[in-house]
Amino acid sequence: MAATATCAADDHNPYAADPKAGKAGEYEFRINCALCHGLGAHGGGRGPDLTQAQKKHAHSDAELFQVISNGIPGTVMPANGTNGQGVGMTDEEIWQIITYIRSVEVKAPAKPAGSAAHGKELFYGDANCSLCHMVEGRGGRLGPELTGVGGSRTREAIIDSVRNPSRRLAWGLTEATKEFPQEYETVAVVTADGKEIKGVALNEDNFSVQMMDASEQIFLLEKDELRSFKKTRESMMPTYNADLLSDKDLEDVVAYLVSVAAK
Amino acid sequence: MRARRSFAALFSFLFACSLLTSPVRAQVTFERLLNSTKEPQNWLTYSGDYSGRRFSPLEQINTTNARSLVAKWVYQTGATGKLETTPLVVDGILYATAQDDRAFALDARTGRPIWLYQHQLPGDIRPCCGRVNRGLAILGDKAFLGTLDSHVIALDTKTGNVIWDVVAADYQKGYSFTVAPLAVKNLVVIGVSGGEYGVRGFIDAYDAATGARKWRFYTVPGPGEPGHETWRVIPGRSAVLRRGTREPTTQ
Repeated sequence: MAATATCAADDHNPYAADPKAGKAGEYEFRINCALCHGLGAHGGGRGPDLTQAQKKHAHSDAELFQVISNGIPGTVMPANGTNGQGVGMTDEEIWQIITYIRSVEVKAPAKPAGSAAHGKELFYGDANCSLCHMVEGRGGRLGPELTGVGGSRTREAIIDSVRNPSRRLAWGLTEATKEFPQEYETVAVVTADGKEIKGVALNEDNFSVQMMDASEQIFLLEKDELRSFKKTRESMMPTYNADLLSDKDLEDVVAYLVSVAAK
Repeated sequence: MRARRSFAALFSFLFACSLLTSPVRAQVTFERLLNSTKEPQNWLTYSGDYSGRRFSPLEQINTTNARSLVAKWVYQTGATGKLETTPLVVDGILYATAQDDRAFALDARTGRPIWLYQHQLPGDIRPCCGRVNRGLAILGDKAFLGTLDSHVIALDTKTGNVIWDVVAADYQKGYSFTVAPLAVKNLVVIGVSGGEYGVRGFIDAYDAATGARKWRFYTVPGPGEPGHETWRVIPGRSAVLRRGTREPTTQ
């Protein structure tokens, strides 16, 4: 199977720039890829935006073919699969999807307008982002790690998740390498001795929860020993409206995140 | 049966002691590592302490009751092959590695996972003797491991996120890491494997905070260095399979 994929991937896309194939590819994309990568390939909760030119794992059509065929080990990107485990697209369908992705790609994404230097100051300073978010090993742990976010999410998506943190709770970007990626739902418990703890779950199963509170303390709890256990889709991240962070400052933070991811 | 139950009580008491301070203390300072024998409820470094005694002063489990030990929980690593790791225990959390360069943190009382990290290994690694990993070192809020493709990686002990990841050598030339690193002062010290493939063995030291390499000591002299010619007969017998031990008081 791998050998076939390699052979096919040595070729270039037989449907390159064929609008008919692109249309067919859009259909395939919607069925098989959009669940993670979003409609229009604009990025979903889990998968990166594919309309931006920067792609970490594949540049050429042949490399894209490989990635779609074999998945990306260590991430949640699955192999296409021909034995019933994956979505099982034919080579033709994969090439059509690549044609579609190429057709929606923004060849030269607009450079962020903001000042990355000022954005960095804000991130680690007045905007308090680094209290909960880590970038390049510096910052907090309560929220998702953001070193790569500027490369895998659009400016619009980042702005939306700052302005409306609970609209679409983020998956961590690095959690993909873990067995049990958690969404950043808020967990609130009351222990047997009446202590209230609020935070995010690092891991949870039927019987126990391992959670971290805002001061980054880890609690290892058995559910049957708790007075109450509650999970909500309300993010612990404060809603940054324009009073808290002006549009200009937010552009600067985005510029900083984009500059980090481009390194 | 009664003996067994009372022992289970002993056992849970043992864990309870280490968990009284829950939520857990996080930072493993160098001072704590130096004085690790004063924290018998923990196992902060490979071999238990810098002198490598592998001895626990705890007395609850002894020659008279060891036979009544029963399993409290089982954790499956999800990887096949040889499990050659030595776990560390820090304030109620157990940290260990498994085959294929996995690392994980578990609630020591229950075995329930807190995080799991899987290093992304290339397909063409060729470790001589099994895809094993022998354990972690911990310093501050980071846990360190060496990998079969010759990376040295620092993980956040609270989340399992990668803090830094550096390439020490070219795995395609036969270099790999299987030993547990050693954290000393602000450094992470680790020795390379690959003697079976004729590598030139070395011991590396990395800045624990940044991953910058501070020094490399080659275990055999290179061309032009005194004694180089004497190594031609047995090429590659220079890998580092043992972790260093030392008197903690000496430098």
